[in-house]
Amino acid sequence: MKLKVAMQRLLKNPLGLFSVIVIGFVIFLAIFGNLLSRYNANTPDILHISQGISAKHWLGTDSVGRDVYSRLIVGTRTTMIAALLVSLTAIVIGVPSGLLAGYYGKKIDAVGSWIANMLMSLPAMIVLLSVRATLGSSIYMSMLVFGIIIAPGFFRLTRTAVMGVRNELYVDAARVSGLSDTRIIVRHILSVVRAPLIIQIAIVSGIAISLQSGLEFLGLGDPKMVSWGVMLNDGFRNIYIDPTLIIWPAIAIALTMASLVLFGNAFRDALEDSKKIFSKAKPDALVAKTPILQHSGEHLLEVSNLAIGYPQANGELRQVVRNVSFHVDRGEVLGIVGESGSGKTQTAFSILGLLPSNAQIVSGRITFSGESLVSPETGKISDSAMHSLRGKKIAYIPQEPMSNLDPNFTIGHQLVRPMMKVLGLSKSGAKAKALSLMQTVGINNPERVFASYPHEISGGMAQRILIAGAVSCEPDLLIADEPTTALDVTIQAEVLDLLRNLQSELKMGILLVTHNFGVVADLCDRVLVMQNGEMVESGNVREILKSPAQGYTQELLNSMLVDRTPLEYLTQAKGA
Amino acid sequence: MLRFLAKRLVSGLSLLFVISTATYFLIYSSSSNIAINILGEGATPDQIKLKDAQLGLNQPLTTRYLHWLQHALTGNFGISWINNDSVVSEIARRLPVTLTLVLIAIALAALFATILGTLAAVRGGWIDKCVQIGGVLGFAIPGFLLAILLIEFLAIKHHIFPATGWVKFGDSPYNWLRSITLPIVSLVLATVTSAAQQIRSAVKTVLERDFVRTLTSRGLSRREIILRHVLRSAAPTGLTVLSLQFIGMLGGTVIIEHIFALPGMGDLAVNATTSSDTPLIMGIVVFTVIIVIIVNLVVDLLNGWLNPKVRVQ
Amino acid sequence: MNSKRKLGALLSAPLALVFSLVGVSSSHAAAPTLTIGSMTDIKSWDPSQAHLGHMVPMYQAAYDTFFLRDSSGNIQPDLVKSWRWDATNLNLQMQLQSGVKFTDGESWDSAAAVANLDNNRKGNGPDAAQLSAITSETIDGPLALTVHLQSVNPALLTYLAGSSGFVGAPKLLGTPALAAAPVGTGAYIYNAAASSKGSKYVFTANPNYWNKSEQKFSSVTFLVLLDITARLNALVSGQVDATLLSVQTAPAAKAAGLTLHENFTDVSNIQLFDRAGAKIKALGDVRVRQAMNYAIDRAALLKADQNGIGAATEQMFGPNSGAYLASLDSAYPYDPAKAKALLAAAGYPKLTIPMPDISFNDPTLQAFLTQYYAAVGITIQWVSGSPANYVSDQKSGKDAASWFQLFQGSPWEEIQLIAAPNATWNVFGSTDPKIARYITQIQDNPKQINTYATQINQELVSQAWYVPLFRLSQQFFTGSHVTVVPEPAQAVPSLFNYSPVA
Repeated sequence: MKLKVAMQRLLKNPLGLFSVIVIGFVIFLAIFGNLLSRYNANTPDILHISQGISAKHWLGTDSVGRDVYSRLIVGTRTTMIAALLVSLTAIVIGVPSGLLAGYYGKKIDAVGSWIANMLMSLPAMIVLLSVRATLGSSIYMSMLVFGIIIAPGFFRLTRTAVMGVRNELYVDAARVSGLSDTRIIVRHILSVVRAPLIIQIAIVSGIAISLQSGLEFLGLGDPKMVSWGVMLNDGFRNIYIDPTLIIWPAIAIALTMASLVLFGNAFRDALEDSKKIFSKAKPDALVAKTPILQHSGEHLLEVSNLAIGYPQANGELRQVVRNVSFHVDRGEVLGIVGESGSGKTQTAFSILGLLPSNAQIVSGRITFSGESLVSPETGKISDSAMHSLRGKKIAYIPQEPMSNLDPNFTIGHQLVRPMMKVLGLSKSGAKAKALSLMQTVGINNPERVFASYPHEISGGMAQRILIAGAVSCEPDLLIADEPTTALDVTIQAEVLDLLRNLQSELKMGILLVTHNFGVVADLCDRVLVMQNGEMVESGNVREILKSPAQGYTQELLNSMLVDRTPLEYLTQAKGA
Repeated sequence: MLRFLAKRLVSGLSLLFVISTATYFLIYSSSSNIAINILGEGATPDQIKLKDAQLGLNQPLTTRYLHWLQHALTGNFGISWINNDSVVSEIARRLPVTLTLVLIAIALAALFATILGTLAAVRGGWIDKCVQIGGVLGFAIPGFLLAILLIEFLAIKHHIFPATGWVKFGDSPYNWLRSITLPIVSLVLATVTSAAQQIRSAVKTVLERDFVRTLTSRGLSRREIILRHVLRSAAPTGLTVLSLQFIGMLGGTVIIEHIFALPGMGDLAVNATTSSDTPLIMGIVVFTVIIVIIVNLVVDLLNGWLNPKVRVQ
Repeated sequence: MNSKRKLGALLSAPLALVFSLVGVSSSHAAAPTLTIGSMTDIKSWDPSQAHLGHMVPMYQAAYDTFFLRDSSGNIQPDLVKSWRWDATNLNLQMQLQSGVKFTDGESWDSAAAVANLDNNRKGNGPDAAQLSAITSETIDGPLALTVHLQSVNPALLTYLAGSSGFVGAPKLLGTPALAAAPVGTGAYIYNAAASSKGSKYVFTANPNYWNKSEQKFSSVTFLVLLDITARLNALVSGQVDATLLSVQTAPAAKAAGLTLHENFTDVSNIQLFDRAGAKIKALGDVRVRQAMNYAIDRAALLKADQNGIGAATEQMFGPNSGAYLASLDSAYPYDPAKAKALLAAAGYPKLTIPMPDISFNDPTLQAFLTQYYAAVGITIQWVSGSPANYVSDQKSGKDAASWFQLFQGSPWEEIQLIAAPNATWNVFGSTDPKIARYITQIQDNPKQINTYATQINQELVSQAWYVPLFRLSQQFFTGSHVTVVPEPAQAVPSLFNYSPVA
């Protein structure tokens, strides 16, 4: 995501805005503070000690007669430089090494981890104090050493995050497509580790400030410098004589540390969160003008005049589905075909109640088995209705098998648990059913796969598992979102066969979302063509394929049929 | 598994050796004034010479180091120069104090950080903002200030907890609990934030993943999905952060130990280092390294148990 | 055994238990306890390792001393019943208390006395040098001995009433056992089971103590509280009955209604070691040193650094030392113009003097000293060092001048601390013929010590060997259960000066 966009989002977040203001102000003071101070921050004045707020001294004087305001302003620079030193040192040492170790593994990881362990095992206090004894009490030196000591933290965080995604498909894809390792690391992997790193940087900077004051408290700091830590300690030492001294540095430290953390969170959110803009009001203008008739309940699934929109930053509503109507009956397969962005997946998700939280059902009615899921009266998906239907009556087969299985649980667990919950089976009963289901979907070694983890099986097998899972509770309606797109051609055919068999066995209605007319031809009874959220045409598959009424449909067909005539293709698919 | 442990053991031992050697030579330069520091201003030159001989300070560096190493390998870490007590018994006395504080504080911090971070990530909205702000306050207020505020209100104004001191569990479990409450509260308040923010971030990331949607479509309750599946995936980040904090706390509790007069390791380490008490420093370093090695091992094992993909390495 | 007696035997044990419990509980209600917050820890309980000042009351729990100092500073009998110096003042005859036993069963006799004197002399402890004048001892009888000195030492009895006079069980002297747990003739017995090294030392009353009137508590506990905040909180919350606070924390204690027992023991001063001008030529000129005395406004400095608590002073000897002259406290009134004139006359209108940095301990003082001296043309260059080595660095002779807090003791102690050629703090070995003469005269006439010490005091002031700043007030507080009489020239009160409040 572009940095500029991220910054905009950051500033929209009230906490982010607050933290940016505070941190910006602090940085400003760090740079220009010396110009704004009214007195020399170090000049004592024995005649004016511990004075209160006055016109001469905006924040009073401290126990030595120095102007508190000036010290606070000037001390900002020392404090900030120290914090910066720690963070920079730790990042420069920890992040690149963590990236390399996590990505390449083996020897590099072994060496890197060993060094990190060594640095982490050093008792920080002892090292800090020993170095201080040998190299002098400069606070900058102490912060540099501290940065080195906590670099392993960054190393470990980076390494963990990288290792988590090292084997992801998109990385493999990038490798296969010939991207250099550096490119892969910087482009893809760095973006994954951004989030924990940003937060850690913010926190570490805060800790650096806190450490400064801690060292001063122990008498191990650098009292000759003006820093918030020195001021805090001064205030603490004299807290029973002049209780107000401690307030100003405490506020400065607290505000800055708080802002750092809040900034870290907000920045991470701005970068990572998918763009979700919520809007309370429902724009009247878009509510369907004509009243939508009640559904008779004769269809398994009936959708009328469905319109889905997403609120935009400028207050408008972007409609991704406009005025779509269709129905699905038991035992029939309806295909929704279109290019990406046509709104077909959105339609499917709305039936499942799995739209993102900021999506708005602008209008429409969805009825399932006579039960209303979405009605113009409520204007949104009925959560309670969905809850009892999902998994049991309406099931979902996702498109990309590997990312739709939880990598931390066995296949068996992911099959068995929903059955236990939804069907009320016992663990052993569910396991037996799962094993038989796995055989049904064509897995030869069900026991072994049952005990395996998702990363231990192939994509084709994973898709079969997802199919098995979807039909495990014998749903009435199956919504399949491009179930074969991610598979090899040979497996595609098998999976399609599987779906066909399951459908006839369980008498399910299937809503099949796809961009592939071949699949439509193979499996579907009726088809609905969508473009830009609107219905282009719908009807019987044979008719649409043979003689599409709309030009767009023809274009779609053409894009699939290179050097073939429609009839030929149909024949081939049917026979395969 | 055995090979993994064996590799770790070898790596750990090499670590121990390198660190102890480096430390010994690092602290050498500051140990020249030991004798007079121990004896005080009234010491005569003869006394100082005698003390130097007693402590072996008149021998060359490498001799002293080898001497130490030889004894250390048999478990004899010598006598603390300043405290006149065997290093092992000194550490044995102090380590439980710090470990108790740190283990309980980390456990509580882990619990609260998970609850708060997950709440903030899942609920979002103003709950998220409240959690962020609330969590940040404990982090932002300097530790010793927090401690004295707690003492002021809960130990002095209202005598609910003791203001100072450590009571052994064996002596009186009830008073032991009372004596550690305020220190642990101070520690937890200071550390829960960073873990909570990391967990919040990790949970938010995991919630966006496809398998969460698919599991929802299977009919699992939101609660089960979050508690079982989302947290599992978010765990490695949380574990890493918490283990880092644990290690940092081993020495970092010194301020809390000072204020509450708890005889712990942090205090011991700082005093030993500032007075250049070589045997004691070396003993502390060795034990700290061992603890860190164990903690890292435990975290890696936990990570492997929770996330099978990581096990592949 | 017939059945009646059997029954009796059976019953007697539980009955005895019941009675003893009743007895214990009733006496518990009356028997007061004392808990003291200590700012030092004891590294070794061997009497030879005792150090003057903060540790003294802790050693006093289980150990008696040869002599006792009363609240006016006079020497009184303790384990030594009577004594006599011979005409040369080099031989001290001592008659010991009879019927005193150590808690391990050994007896207090002349052999034990000799063993202890030797242990304290040769044990390589911090105060061993105090007894350096002793060459040997002769046993004259079971309870009589004579101590032989090589030179006259007017403070010997004071030393033997303090940290080099503790007496431990002879068989255990120098053993690790004694280092771990004190065994003596004292009013209280160490309770190892209830104690915890480094945090708590518990003593219970010695039932066979020979000096019962000095035993006022059923138990004495020392809590090691190194941090001043911890000490304050412990006192205010009632965890300790007495402890030493500071000028900065005193207001909180006063506000909480605790009682102050002020005591003056130390003088804050700048030591001008290099009065011979070896390292810094300027310091060899008395005018420069005098200028350094004129340059400071002591009253204002006291207000700023010590919150006005304490007493500005211009002499190193304290009011109770017998060598004090009130007039000397106006020897160097604040006069920066005079200081500048003196410096100019000496040929040093601008001067740089390096001194060890004290900002880790007292940044206020450092800031103001800098300012005062800068105003008269002297730049103080604060040299960073390690706080742990502050004392040893000064002793090493690398600093021409430094700030420090010095003990103000009895005249001989003070002379041995700051004036004699081999005085503890005469790091550069400065000598002065007048001072040397006075010291000889003291050794010839120990009874006239005050007269000559006063002369020495005057000499130190007129020659400006030091820049005394102020006498520091020890802010010792007690809670409502106990009261105490401070011990002169001792940082914290002696244990036997505590008494319960009815």
